[in-house]
Amino acid sequence: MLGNIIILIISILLGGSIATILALGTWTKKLAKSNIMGDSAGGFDEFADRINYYHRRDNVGASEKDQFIRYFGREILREKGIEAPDMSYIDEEFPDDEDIPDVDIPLFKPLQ
Amino acid sequence: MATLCKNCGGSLVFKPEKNKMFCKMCGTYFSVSDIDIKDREILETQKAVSAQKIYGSNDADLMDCNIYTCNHCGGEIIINNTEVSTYCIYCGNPAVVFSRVAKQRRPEAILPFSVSREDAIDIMRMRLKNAFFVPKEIKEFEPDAVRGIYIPYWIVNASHHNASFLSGQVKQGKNYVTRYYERVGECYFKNLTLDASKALSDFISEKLEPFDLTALKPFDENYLAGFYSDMNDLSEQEIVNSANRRCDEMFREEVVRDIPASSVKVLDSAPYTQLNEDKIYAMLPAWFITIEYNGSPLTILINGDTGKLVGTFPFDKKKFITLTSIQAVLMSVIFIALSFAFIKVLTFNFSRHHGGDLASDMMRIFMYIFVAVGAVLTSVINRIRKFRNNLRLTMSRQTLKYVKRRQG
Repeated sequence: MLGNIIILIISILLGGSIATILALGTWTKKLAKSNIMGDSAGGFDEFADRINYYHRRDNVGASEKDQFIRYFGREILREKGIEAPDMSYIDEEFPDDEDIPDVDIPLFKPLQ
Repeated sequence: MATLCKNCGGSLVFKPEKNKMFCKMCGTYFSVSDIDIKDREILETQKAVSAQKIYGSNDADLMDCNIYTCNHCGGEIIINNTEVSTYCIYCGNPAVVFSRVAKQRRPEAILPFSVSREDAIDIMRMRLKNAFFVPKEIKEFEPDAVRGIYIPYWIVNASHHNASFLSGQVKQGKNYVTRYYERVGECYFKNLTLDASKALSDFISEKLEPFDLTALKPFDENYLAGFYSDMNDLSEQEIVNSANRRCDEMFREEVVRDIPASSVKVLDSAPYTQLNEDKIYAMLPAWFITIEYNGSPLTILINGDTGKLVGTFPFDKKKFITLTSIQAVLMSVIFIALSFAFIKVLTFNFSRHHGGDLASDMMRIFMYIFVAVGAVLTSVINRIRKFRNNLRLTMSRQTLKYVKRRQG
């Protein structure tokens, strides 16, 4: 009897969780479709044809990352005679409300 | 300055639906090319006066502005440094400040509005009508302000070099293992559109794409009449940085397709972008519609060329929770019964020390269900995160300020 109660409790927790997750899956999908509009930017296919690869290596070691990035990032360009400038990205985390000062006073004002 | 009607001297504005200039006084239409810009000198650029001097304030946040004269009523207008087209607050005259354009780099091209103000509002109403979870109060919105703004863009062609280090999952026997990959390649990006206004978030302006660049016209000040606009405020290096970021994003998006694995991720990349000399400075159109919901402002953008609507709306929480709960309760009955039977059979088999194969089969089924439910949970979390980020963007104070600074 006690065993059955324990099994029932576990079943309620398990079955309830699965059902809740599946229901959330259904309705969050509908919510995203309904309320998020125009969430797409131009992709690769719209601006470029294809990538010409000149180096491909599979199954490399995870530890080779830094060396690879260093060599192919700057040194290979230097070998080609291109000095890559510092390409640090524009720091644009949104919402970046601090960038623009508050303008409570209208920009238009009659001069005396 | 405002372009004036040849017949009555009234001010002309550009009407997207007719692709013509329209006189508000006598109702005459003129084609854009028929209007001469001959009165530029009337708008004499006056000495720039600092905001501190004008407002008598020491507030360091105030921006320096330039002063221009409305040639229609003689009123003096103070305009933000990066703004080139605005209305006169006194007479409502569309005062296009050509002297500012001339002082800075003049745009080479413009994509005129083809979606009118009324069309923009209709598009939004239509989209909201079919949006199931948008609250009724938003569906019946009264726009606080609808502003047509020409956003400055750089249209660039660029050569891109990228080295990407990736990881992916490969099946080995019954399990998945992580493998690492190196890819180095080059590609050429054509007609990449880069928002040239720092005040507008790139996250928003990118979503306005695509624009029909085949409809670009040589820049003509007359198209600005009746609309607001900004000027480029990016340095050369910032344009390159912006292009590099966009190209890197798109390269990453493409390079994962070259990897023979699943769940591929770019762990690191070294992008380098070289812009061609032929970049075009252009003005591209967008409508900004501001509405208020529960005291919070929402700024919705509509591409002034294609009518694409960009914005995320708060949802009707009551409706969402009710529907989710009903489905969860109904499905719970089935899943609780299945779970009960499943555990019962499993414990029975274990207690009798037989049916080992059956038990292991059931455990395997349980694992599959567990993985499937885990995948659904992950997608739920991702959707909620995406929704929250997009909503923050629509409610962003930065975007609101971008629009509100244009006090008309």
